[in-house]
Amino acid sequence: MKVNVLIVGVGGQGVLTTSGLLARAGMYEGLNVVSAETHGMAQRGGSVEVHLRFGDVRAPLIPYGHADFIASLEPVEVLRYGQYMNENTVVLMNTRPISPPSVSTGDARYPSMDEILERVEGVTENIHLINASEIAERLGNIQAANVVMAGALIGLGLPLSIESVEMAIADVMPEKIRDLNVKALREGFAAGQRLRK
Amino acid sequence: MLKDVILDEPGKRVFLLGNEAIARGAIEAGIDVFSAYPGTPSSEITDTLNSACKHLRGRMEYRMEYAVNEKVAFEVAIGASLAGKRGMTAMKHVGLNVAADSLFSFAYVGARGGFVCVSADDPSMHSSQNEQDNRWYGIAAKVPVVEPSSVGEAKEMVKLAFDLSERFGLPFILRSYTRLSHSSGIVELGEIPEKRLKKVRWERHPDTDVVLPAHARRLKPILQKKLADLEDFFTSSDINWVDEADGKRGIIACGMSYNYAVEALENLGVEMPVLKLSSMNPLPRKLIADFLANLDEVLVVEEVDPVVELQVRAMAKELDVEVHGKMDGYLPENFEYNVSIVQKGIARLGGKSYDYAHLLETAKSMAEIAPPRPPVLCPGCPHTATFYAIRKVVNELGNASLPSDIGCYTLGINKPLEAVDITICMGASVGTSNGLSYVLDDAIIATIGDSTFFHTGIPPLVNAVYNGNRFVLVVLDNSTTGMTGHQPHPGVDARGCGEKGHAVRIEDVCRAIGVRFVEVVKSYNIRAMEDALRRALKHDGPAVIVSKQPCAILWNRERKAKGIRITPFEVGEGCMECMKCVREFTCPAIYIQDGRPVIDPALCAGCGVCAAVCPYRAIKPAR
Ligand code: SF4
Ligand code: SF4
Repeated sequence: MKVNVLIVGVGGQGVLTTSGLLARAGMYEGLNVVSAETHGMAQRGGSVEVHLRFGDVRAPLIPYGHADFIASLEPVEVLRYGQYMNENTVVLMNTRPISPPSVSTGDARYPSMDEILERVEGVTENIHLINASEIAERLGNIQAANVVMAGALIGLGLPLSIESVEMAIADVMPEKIRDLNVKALREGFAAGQRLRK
Repeated sequence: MLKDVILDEPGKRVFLLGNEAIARGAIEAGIDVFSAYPGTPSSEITDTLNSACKHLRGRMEYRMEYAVNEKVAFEVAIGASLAGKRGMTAMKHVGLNVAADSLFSFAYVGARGGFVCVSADDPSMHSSQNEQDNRWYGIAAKVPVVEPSSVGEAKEMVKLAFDLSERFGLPFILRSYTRLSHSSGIVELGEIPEKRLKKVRWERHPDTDVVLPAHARRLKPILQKKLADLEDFFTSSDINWVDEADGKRGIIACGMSYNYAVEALENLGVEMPVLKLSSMNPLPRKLIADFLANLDEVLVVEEVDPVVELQVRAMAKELDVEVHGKMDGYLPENFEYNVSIVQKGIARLGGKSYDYAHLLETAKSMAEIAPPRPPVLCPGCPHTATFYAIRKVVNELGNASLPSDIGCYTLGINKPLEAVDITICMGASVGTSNGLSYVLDDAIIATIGDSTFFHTGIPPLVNAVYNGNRFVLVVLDNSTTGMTGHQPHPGVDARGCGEKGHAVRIEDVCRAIGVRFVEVVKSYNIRAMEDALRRALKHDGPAVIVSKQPCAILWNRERKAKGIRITPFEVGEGCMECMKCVREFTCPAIYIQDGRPVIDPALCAGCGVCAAVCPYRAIKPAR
C-alpha cells in the first residue's frame, strides 16, 4: 500500500501540526511513514507545503502526479501544486482566503472561487470545499481549522482511524487545547463523510 | 518531538525529524561537548540538543552551547576531542566556509575523542545564498564524509561516525541536506548511555597537536595512511551495499538518492542492480570496481555536483563501462532531485519512456492565477519600522547604497521598502561597506542583525575604525537569531542549556573598538530613527545605530506567557484612503477591503507603528 498526502497552506496556519498528527496516527497503526516539510525564509505569511507518505514508500517528496489527497488550508495555495495531481486526486479546500500582500498593494489579483475551481477541475473533478475556519471559529478557536481539515481528510477516505489521530492529539498537544481539538477533529470527520456522499 | 528524543526505551519506534534523529544519535553516542551557530537546514539539531540537555541532566550529561560563529563552534569541538572527549558541531553548508581554516588543519592533527561535524547542505537553495556541495571539502581537506539515506540511518550514522573517528583518529563530516534534515521518518531508539561530564587531566601531545611545518610534513603521510585504512573499512562496511539484479546496466545511488532510484525503478517496473553508497570520501573504490565489473553502463545518481561521477568516470575507463549522470545530461546538473527527476534518467538508461513535462505544463497553467505569496516580514516586525525610516531618509538624499546581511531582514529587499542592495554572506554588509566607502560619492547605510554582528560583523567594523572609513551601520537588534528559530546569542542573557548568560552589549563593543558615533534607538520610534540617521550621516567615520526592539514573535510569546492581552490597532473614522499605510509601509496585518485599509486583529501585534505612519492619525488601538 502507498498513500500520498500533500498538505499546503500559509505559514502560521498549522500545516506542520496537521501533518505531524496524521503522521503519528499512521505510525500508531503500524504503517511506515515518511514526510517532508518545505517552508521559505520567513516565520509566517509565506507558502508552506508538507508531503506525507504512508506505507511502502521511501522518498520524502511525493513523485509528480502521485498525490492521492491534497488538503489546502487556503484556497489559492492548491494552485501551486498541480504537478502532484492526477485525475483521481482527492482535493479538499478550506474556503477562507488569506490575501497576500501582493494583492493589497495591487501588484496581483486574488482569483474568484470559480476561477480556482475551474483550474483544479481541469485535472481532477474530485474537489471538495469546506469552511474549516468557520467550523473552528464556532468551536472557539480559529487555530483549530487545521485539525478540522485533518478530520475531513479521514472522512473523505484517507485510510487512518479517527481514534489514532485522537491518540496523537493527546500525545502532542498541550492539555488545555486537547478537548477543543478532538471536537474539531470529529466535526471535520463528519463534514468529510458528508462531502464524500 | 523532544519527548521522543529523550525517551529511554530501546527498541521503541518513534517518528522524528531528520535533525532530531541526528541529535538523538549524538545522545546515544554519548557526546560530551556540542557547539554550533544556527543555520537552516541544520538548526534543529542544535535546538533539540538544547532542549534535551535540560531533561537529561543527571543521566546523560553534555555541555551544549550556541557559538558566535561556525569557526568558533568547530574549534570548541576540537578542544573537546583533543582532550579525549566526544565533540560535535553542526552547521549549514556555507557555515563550513567559515570553519574551513580549522577543518583543513585539524585533519592533520586528527581526532582523539570522536569528532563529528554535521554539514547540512541545501540543494535547490531553499534558504541559502548558494548551492555548494560540501563533499568537496572532504576531498580537499582529506576528511571522511558520510551521507545517510534516511532519517533512521542518519541516527545510526552519527554513532558510527563517532566510533570510526576514534578508531581511525580522523575528524568526520556527516553530510545531511534539506531533504534529509527536514524530512521525518520512523526511527528505532537505541540506548541512552548513563554518563556524567567528568573533567579529565590534560595530556600533552605537541608532536601531533602543534602543526608546525616540521610536524605537518610528518603528519600528512600519516593522514593519507589513515584514509587508506578507512577506505578498506568502507569497502566492506554495511553503510554501502548492492541490491543485486540481472542486467548489464546498473545504478550507483548516493545518500538520499538511493530512495529516489529505488522508487523510480518500482514505478517503471524495471530491475537493475543498485550500488547504494554512503561513504562519500574516501570512496570504496574496490567495491565500486567490483560492481562495475559486471556492467556495460552505469548511472550515477547524486545531488548537487558530480563528485562521485567524476571519480567513477576515471575508474570506468579501464573497465570499459559507459558512465551516465550529470555530465552527459541524463540527470540535471543543478537543484535537488526527486523520484520523478531520477525516474526520467533511469527510464533513459533502461530504454523506457517517461517524462513529466506535461505535468509541469498543467501545473504552470494552474499556478498562473495564484497571486505570489513570497515570505514577508511579520506583523509588528521591528525591522519594517527601521527600514521604513531608512527608506524615507534615502529618498530625501536621493540615492544611497544599502548593503545588508544574512537574516530575516534580507526581506527588506521587497517593495516598497527596498532597503537592501547587497547581500553576500555573514558579516559582508560591513565588509563591503568598507570597500564602497572608498569609491562612492553616495551615502552608505548598511544593515546587519545582532546575531550576525557578533558572528562576523565585528572584525570589518574594526577595519573601518582603523581606516577611518565613512558609513552608517544600523544594527537591527531584535535580541535573537530570528530566521533560524530564535536561538540566543552573546547579546542575550540566555545560554545553550538554558542557563543565564553574560550579555555582551553591542553598543559597548562598538565604543570599545573605537566607533565614536554610537546611538541606541527604539525600532518602533520611526522619528527617532530618522533623526539618528541624519546625524549619523554627518559623522566623519563609521557610525553605528543600534535599532533595538525584540522580535515580534518573541514579544508575542512573552506577552502570551504572562497572560497579557494583545491590543490590536484598527483603522478608524478619519481614514482618507491615501493608502500610505499599505503602499509605503506594508504590515502584513493591513489589507485592503472594498478600497479601505483594514487591520486583521488576529495578525496585528499591536506595535502601533502604522499609527505613526498615517498622516491623518486615523489608526488607533482598538477598543
Ligand atoms: S495611512 Fe491612514 S489615512 Fe492613509 S489609508 Fe492608511 S489609515 Fe487611511
Ligand atoms: S499595530 Fe499596525 S503596524 Fe503594528 S502589527 Fe498592528 S497593523 Fe501592523
